[in-house]
Amino acid sequence: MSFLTCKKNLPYLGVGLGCRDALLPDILTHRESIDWLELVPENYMGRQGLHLEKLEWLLEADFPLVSHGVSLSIGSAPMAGELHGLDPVYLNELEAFLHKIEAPWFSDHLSFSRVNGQYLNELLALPHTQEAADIVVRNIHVLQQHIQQPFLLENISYYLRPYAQDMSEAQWITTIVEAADCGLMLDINNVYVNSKNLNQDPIAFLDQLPLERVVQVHIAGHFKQEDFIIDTHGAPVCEEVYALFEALMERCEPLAVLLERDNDFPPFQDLLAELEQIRCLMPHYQKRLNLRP
Amino acid sequence: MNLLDYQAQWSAYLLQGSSAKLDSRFSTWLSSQPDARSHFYQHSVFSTLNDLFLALMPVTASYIKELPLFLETYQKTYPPRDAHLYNTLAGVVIFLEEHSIGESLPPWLVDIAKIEWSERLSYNAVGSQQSLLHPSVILCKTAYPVLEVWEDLKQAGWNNPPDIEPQAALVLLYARAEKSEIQKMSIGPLVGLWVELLQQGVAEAEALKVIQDLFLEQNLPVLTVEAQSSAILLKLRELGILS
Repeated sequence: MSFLTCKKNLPYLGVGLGCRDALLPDILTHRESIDWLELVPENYMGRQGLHLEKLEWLLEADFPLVSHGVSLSIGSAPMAGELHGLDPVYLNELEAFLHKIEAPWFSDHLSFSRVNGQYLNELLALPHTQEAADIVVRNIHVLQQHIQQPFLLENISYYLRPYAQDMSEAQWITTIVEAADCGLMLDINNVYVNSKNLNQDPIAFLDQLPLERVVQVHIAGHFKQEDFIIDTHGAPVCEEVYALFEALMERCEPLAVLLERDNDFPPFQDLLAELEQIRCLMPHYQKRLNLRP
Repeated sequence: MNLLDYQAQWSAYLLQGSSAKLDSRFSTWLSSQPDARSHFYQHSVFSTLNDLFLALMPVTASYIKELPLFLETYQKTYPPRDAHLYNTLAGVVIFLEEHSIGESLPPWLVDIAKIEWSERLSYNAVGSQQSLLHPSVILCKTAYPVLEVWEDLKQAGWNNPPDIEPQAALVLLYARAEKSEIQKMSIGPLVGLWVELLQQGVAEAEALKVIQDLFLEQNLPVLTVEAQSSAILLKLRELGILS
C-alpha cells in the first residue's frame, strides 16, 4: 500500500506537546488540555526501572503517543562491506518501544548522527546530493522492512550550508520522500531558522515540498544569536513562525501538530495557552476533533 | 569526497575537542562566518556532555576544576558507542581510576563517581530474575566512607576538598518507585553479605548456612548471627526491597 493511501487511515490527533521529564507532573494533571504526546524513544528504549514506570503513567492516562527519535541516523553511510547504515540494535529496541506505545506512526530527522558505529549526539546536515539521497532512501527501505508502521522524515535546522549541492534542499527532500514513499514531519520552526541563517525564502521552500505527505508538524521557539538563529526549543513560538504556520495551514492539513519545548520551561499555563493559540490557527481543528471516534 | 568520508570528517572534528578544526576542504563549502558556525556544532556536542555530566554526576563534577578539559579527554577515550545519551558516561568511573588526569583530584572521587553512577544503574535496573531482591538494589563497595559525609561533600567543591581517611565501606542503593527516586544508605558487612548472596539467587536458608559457616571459620560468635540475620531480613522487607 502506498504511503498516501495509508495516510487516509491514520488518526487525527490534534495539538500535542513534547513529553519531557520536567513537564510530566503537569502533563498528567492537565490530561484534558493536551490532545496527544510525543515521546523521544531514546529516553525509554532499552531501559527499565523507573523510566518504564513513567511510561506506564502515560499509558494509564490514555494519551495517544507518537515516537520522535533523535538517534536513528537515517543518513548514515554504510561502513565498508555493509549494505545499509542503520544500527540493528537500535532498530530492535525502537520496534519494541513502538509496539509498547501503539504509535500510529513514528519519525526521525533527515540527518546523520552516527559514523562508523560511533554516535555523535548531534543532528548533522547531509549534503544535498544524489548520493546522499540514495543512501537515505536505502536506509528507509531497510527501516520499513524492519518496522512496518508509517515513517515520517523531519526537515532539520542547520547552520552551515552542506557542500556539493546537486539540488536545492526542497528538491532533495522531495526526491527522498517520494523515492522512499514515506511521510513528512514538517518542522515549521526549522524552515524559519534555515530561511534566516541561509538567506532563503521560506514560502518558496514550502511550495516546493510535497505537502500532501505532511502528517505531522512541529512548531517551536528559537534563540537569536548576533549573526544566526539557533533552534533551541527554549522560548515561546514567535510571531514570524506563527505566520509561517498559518501559511502552511493554507496549503495542507496535518493530522497532528506538536509544540516542542525542551528547556527554560515557563509556567505550564503558558504552554497550554500556546497549544490553544495553535488550535486557533488550524481552520479544521474543531470539526476534525469532533469526528474522532 | 564521498558521503562516508564527509561524515568521518565531521566525526573527527566533533570528538577531537577544542584544538580541532574542520578539514580545510570544508572551508570552501561553508557559508559566511564558517569558524563561528562550525564551532557551534563542536560546542553543542561538548555542552551536551557537560550538561549530562552535571545532571547525572553533580557531586563528582563539583570536584573537577578543569571540567571542559576533563570531558574532552574523557570523550576522546570513551567516545559514545550507543544511541543512549546517558550511557556516554558509563566509563567515567574507570576513567577516573585509570587516567593521570585524576592525579590532581581527591583520592575518594572515584567512590563518589561509583555511587552516582550506581544511582543511574539503580534507576534503570533490570535485575536478576532469580533474585528475591528488588531489581533496583545495588551494592556499592567504596574505599572511603564518602556516604557518611555526603551532605558536606555536596557543599565543599573543588577548591575546598575535605580530607577523608580511607576505610572500606558499603553503600546500598535502591529505588523507591512511588517517589521516583533512588535511596542510598551505609550498611555493615553482614547486611552486605546478605545482599550479595540474595542477589546471586541463593535461598534464605542456604544463605544463612553460608554465613554461619563463614562465622565459624573466622571464630566469630555464631549464636548471634541468626538473630542479626532475622533483623536484617526484616529490615530489607520493611524497605520493600525483599519479597
